Amino acid sequence: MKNYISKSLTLLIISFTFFSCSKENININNNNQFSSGYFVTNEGNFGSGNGSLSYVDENNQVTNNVFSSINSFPLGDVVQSMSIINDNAYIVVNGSAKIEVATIDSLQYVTTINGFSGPRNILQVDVNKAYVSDWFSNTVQVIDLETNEITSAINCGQGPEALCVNDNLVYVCNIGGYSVDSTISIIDVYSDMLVSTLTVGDKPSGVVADINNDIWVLCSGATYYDANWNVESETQGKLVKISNGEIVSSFSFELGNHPKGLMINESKDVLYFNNGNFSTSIYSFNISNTTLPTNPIINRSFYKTALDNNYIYGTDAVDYVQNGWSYKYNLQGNLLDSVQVSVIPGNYCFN
Amino acid sequence: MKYIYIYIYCLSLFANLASAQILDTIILPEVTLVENKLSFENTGSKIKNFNHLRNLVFPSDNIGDFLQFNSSFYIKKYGALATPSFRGTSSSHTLILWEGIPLNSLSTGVFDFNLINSYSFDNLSVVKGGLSSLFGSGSLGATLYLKEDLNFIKKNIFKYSLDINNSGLNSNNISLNYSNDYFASSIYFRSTIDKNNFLFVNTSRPNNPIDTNSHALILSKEFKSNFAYKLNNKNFLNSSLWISKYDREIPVLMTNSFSNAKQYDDSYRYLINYSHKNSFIVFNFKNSLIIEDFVYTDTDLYSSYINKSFYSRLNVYKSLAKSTFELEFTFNNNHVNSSSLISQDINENNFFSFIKYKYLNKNLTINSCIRHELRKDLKVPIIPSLSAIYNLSKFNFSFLINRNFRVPTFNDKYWASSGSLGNVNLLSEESINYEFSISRSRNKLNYDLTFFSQNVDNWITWLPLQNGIWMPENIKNVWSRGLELNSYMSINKFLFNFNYSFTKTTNQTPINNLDNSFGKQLRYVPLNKCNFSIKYQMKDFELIYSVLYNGQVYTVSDQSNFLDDYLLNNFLIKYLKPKARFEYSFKVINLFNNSYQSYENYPNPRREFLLNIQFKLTKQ
Repeated sequence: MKNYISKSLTLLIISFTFFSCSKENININNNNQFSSGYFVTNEGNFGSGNGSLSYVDENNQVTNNVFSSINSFPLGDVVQSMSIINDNAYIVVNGSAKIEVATIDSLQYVTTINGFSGPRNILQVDVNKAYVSDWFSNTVQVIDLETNEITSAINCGQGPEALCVNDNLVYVCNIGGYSVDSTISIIDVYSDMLVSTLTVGDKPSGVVADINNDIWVLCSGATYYDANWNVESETQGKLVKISNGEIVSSFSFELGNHPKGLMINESKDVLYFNNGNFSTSIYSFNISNTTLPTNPIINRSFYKTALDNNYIYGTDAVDYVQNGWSYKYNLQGNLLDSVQVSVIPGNYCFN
Repeated sequence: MKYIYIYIYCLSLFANLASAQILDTIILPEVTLVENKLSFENTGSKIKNFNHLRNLVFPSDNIGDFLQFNSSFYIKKYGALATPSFRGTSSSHTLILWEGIPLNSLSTGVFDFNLINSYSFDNLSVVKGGLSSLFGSGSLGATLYLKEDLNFIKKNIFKYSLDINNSGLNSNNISLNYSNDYFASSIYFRSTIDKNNFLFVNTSRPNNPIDTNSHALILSKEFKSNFAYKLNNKNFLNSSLWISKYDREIPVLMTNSFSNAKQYDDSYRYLINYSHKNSFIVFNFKNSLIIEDFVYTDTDLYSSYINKSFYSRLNVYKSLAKSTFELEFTFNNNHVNSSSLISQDINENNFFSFIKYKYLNKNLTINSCIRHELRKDLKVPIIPSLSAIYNLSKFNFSFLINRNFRVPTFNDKYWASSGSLGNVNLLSEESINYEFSISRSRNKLNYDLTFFSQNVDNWITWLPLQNGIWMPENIKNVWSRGLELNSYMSINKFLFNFNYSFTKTTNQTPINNLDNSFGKQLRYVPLNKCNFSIKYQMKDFELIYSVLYNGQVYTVSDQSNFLDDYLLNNFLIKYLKPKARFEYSFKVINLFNNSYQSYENYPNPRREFLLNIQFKLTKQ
């Protein structure tokens, strides 16, 4: 009988000691060491709270989980986007309905801004004021950057998403959340008042201002299905140009394409987007063009894209439950680098 | 006359109590019941039977709490949910059967383990590994078979039981059992308020403070009645009604500061069974209706469904000298009504049948079974199984090979909401499973050691399409293999129990050349899991010390992140003086105050204290 007991105990002990590795902590102590590279926000899996921040330095060295390593707590659920404002990093955590604020030189935790419903993007609109698009409240929340608190909310359309400021007006894309909206809201920065609402096209997803102070809105278009999973109806994607608060021209994409990821170059005269066909490749469009482009400059699909300093960046989330990748291209579409970041890399933040 | 029985019974019982003569509890001999022996026994699958489950658990224990300390199940707890994984399979690969009728949700394929209270059942059998040839869709990892226990022995028992703990639990249970030579019944009612305000170390906040779990209230009510009639020596009739109602606040993820989500699960389950037994043949004719009424609400979100499934089943059983035949036909109608699907109402009719043949001689049992299913818009392959069991002195060798499957759920096929779409072209998930086991039973030591290998193909995975819309596809191939050791031993007044499992479950199909998950352990499948308990029996007391070890689990498919392994220790002391009307139990859960997570960023309680008081009146 003793034999059996000892066998059982041995097995028990083996099983306890079998796998006992521990998580490594990354130590980052130097100040100002985030000034030369760029950040990637990794959404993480909805409902898991494993969103994170990756830092890629000028030598293309990646540090994953950079926020949680320094502050000893994770960012939270669905890290949506990040902006650098007044020497602070504002990291928008959509699922946790909060914004984490950290110093940009060392990423030390400063404070948490709560009170959102589903924050998407933060944009500085004045010295001490920022706007946050907030999905479920259908508002733009106004942040006092001195106190880092919400001071008021401005009603807009359904599911406010992308933001762009130009000439003291903020343009808000109402993408419709999981549903459909087709408007943009235009807000006056000084009064925080809604100036006008323009109907642009179904599911406006991106907005930028060009060199001539004209506003470009990319609408993805909507798809409706019938009971047999056939596409019942679709609306066309559109690229819309707004001048002085009015739509002056509109380009329609082929029916069935759902363009997304609107970007503009440094000199603000060429737009980039993926045109939403099957491979979701990236196309360029000069603001003086009169027709939509037909040949892509990058023939590859990405989860999200960004443009900075005349480089195009794109992410690949692989199976969405493992570390994803970030690719860097020049404007001619040549691949320069790729780095492995973290789970569901979504957006970029450049210094 | 009998239909008014319940009314009279309830009234008269309380009147009787005052003058009732209190008798000691006696262990009643098992009497063959209305149904024939469970047909999954001796099929080559390893089975663990938990009989008299109510004596093993606290009334407030849900089935997940019980199973993680007493079997190889890995239980993930997140939000209000608790879902199982067995032999590396997903939560929709454990099939829950109530008297043979599937309870897994038609919408999700999953049964939430927090929605079954282990105290509301007499018997639970865990059938390890898949046995789809008998049980049908969803039996890939394991099958839980819940069974009511009624017998025609004269008795009259009233029981009241109260559970309280230090996190705001208050659970009241009443049960009545009445039976005589031709009639048997049991009625059970439970009402539970569980605030779930336990303390935990919040590792997701600056400086890791100790927080209180909030927005976690569970209000639940359950009613169950079972009746059985012995019409004569050959004909039996039994019926069961089981209603449960759970209103739950969905607690917040550690990283989030608030939650508005609530979930309402109401279930209505009814079955009626007619049995006929004679020397030539046994047959059962069973009809059952299962209704799930589900509502989930959150800020700007309202999702609901009402699912109904109806089963009409004829089972014929013929026993010869050295062999038995079993034949079963089932008609099944499923109806789903949900605003989240592509059309509000979806209806399907299915037909299932199996034929089973068993050959028995002194040392050898051979079992073969073949299943055929006709389903709406879905081709299900023939599902066979073959096993052999050989006895050699005190050893038992068994070998099993079978095919198992799971059909896509209604959500997999027809979902259309929140940026996701179902896929009506999905195929069934299919597996080929091999098992070999050796078991030995002697008076004091019993053990069995099982080796298994199962390859699941067409594993359904939700992934986003190019346009960002999520859709399920038959993508993965998963290979699960490992071993399970189960043993128990009694020495004097001690009873030792030990279960260990090693489960290597890997993804065998990369989705593209970037995919780093190829050949790696699936997420949330521990390589090692074991539990161990010592029970010490004294005259009036019973002491149980139990330990659970869960190995580390990966939270991502490329193994770049994981949750630490953890140990949980529970201690139970029971005071059960013979002939006493009262019985007291006291349990310390998580004795050493360990902080652990079974799902990333969801809190679990630190040390908790649970007290149970039971009052029993017995008349024979």
